[in-house]
Amino acid sequence: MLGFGILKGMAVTLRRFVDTYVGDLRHFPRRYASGPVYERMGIRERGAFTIQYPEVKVPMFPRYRGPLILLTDPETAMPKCIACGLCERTCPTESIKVTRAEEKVEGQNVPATYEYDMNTCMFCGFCVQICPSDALGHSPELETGTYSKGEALMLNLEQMLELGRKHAPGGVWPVEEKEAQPS
Amino acid sequence: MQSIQGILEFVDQIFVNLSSWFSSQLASYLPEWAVTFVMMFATVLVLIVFGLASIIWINIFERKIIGRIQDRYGPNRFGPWGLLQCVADMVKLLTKEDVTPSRADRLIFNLAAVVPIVPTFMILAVLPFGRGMVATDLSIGFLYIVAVGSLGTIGIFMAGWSSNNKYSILGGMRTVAQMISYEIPMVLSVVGVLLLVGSLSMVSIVEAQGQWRLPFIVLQPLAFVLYFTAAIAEVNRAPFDLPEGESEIVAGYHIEYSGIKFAMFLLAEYINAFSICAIATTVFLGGWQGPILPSWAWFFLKAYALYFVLIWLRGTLPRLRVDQLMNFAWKTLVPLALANLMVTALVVKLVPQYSLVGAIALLAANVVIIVCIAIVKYPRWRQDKREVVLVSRTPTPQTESS
Repeated sequence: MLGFGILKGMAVTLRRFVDTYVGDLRHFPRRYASGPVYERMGIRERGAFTIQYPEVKVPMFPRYRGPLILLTDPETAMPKCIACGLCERTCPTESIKVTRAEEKVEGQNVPATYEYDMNTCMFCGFCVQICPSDALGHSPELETGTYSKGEALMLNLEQMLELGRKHAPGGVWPVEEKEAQPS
Repeated sequence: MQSIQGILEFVDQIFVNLSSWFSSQLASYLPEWAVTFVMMFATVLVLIVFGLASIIWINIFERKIIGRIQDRYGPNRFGPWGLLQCVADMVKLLTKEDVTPSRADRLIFNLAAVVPIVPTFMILAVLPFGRGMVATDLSIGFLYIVAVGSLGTIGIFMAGWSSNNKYSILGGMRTVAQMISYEIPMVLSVVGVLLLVGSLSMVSIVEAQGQWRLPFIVLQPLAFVLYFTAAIAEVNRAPFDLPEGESEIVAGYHIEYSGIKFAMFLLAEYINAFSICAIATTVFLGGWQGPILPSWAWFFLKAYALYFVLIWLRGTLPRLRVDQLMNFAWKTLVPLALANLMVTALVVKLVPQYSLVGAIALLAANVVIIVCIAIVKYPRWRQDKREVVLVSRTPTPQTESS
């Protein structure tokens, strides 16, 4: 009859409305989805699964392209970077400046300075792909916002190595699995 | 038993007693005319404060429910469970820059923000919120509501025209067309009830439902549906929110408004939505009548239950197109309301007032109308002689694949 479609639609919305409360009751003490992303996304789960962002943070995916980090070999404690400058040359936005140190350390070229400008970086990841010694990676950092442009977003060699030790202690990026070599 | 009834009576009449106590206190200081004046002023003040304060919970109520319907939580940041969200919104709106477009008609543009909110408060004056709780019991109550309610159109059209913006004038024109179209079925659907009551006063409408011992929704279910549908359109709420259809005409008539002036429109819309629920409660759901609970509690319970339905409809139905809107008003609602009016007039003349026979006859008459409409409107019930021609789909053009 006329109007049944409207009633059916209203039944659907009422069910969604009630389901959110059912879902809340099921996870009773915790009102919101927290911890693992998929906690409230199962096939039997009902209701809202909004992640309450500033309080609950989703772990970033292993291949997330965040700000660049420089990796360190954990055995020799040396930066893996050989200061070849390929990253500098491939960078579309010219955000990287590398200079090579005069003297080799244990038969390996090392960078003297490494300047990475996050102001202009567009996180394309070309530098990470092209790096012959797999010395570059991305940090899983999501909140890189600052109150000012300029210095706050410029990273030097020490800072990048520090970030590398922090986010990729194994000296390999992505952290979970080695990136497959492009054929 | 006696004491319980006494307590219930006290709670029921608490606001009325408060008002009479206040006036008797005033009487010892002031002359009689001044007491009347102050009491009128105080009643108006209470109504306005109630109207403004109710925004705080109506707003959060609406946003929470809409959120839940859409599998979200709604506002939950500010205050416990986000209940103070409205305060944050208000602070934001009040601190915003108040922009007047340079080519706008300055006087009318600024006036238009105030005009729609005045009638919304005026409607509250004749609503019986409880037993004896009515600001003024006008003998032409419903007529007054219709007359005042249509004043809001002028404010919206003023806003649309004076903004000097093509979207806002489209919104304003849509408003006028929609409100004029939907006023007719809205009034006609209530006329059936007025025939049953024999009076236009809101208080006597409620009292008549007490004498029938049935709310008028049982006697006039069709009229209730018609009234509610038309009233939603009358206050420009979804699914009839064409005047502010943000996907088509950005925001309609209030596109150029910002800050406090925008808040005024929002305020008018929310109070209007509440007052149509309150009018529907008074006319169809028995007003403040109900067992055990105090009368004002029953009134607000019913009104907010209807408001929930309003929000529920908003969360369910998509917006109508302009031509659908007009067709729906003139081809469906107006004929239905006229049919309902005629049948009700006939039945009221034939059956005795305030009797079970009368109630059954009225209900039967409504069922007859609904069945007739179903037969006319629903083609599956009649033999469909039209041939169905199946047109094969034109093949979609294949794109060159590399």
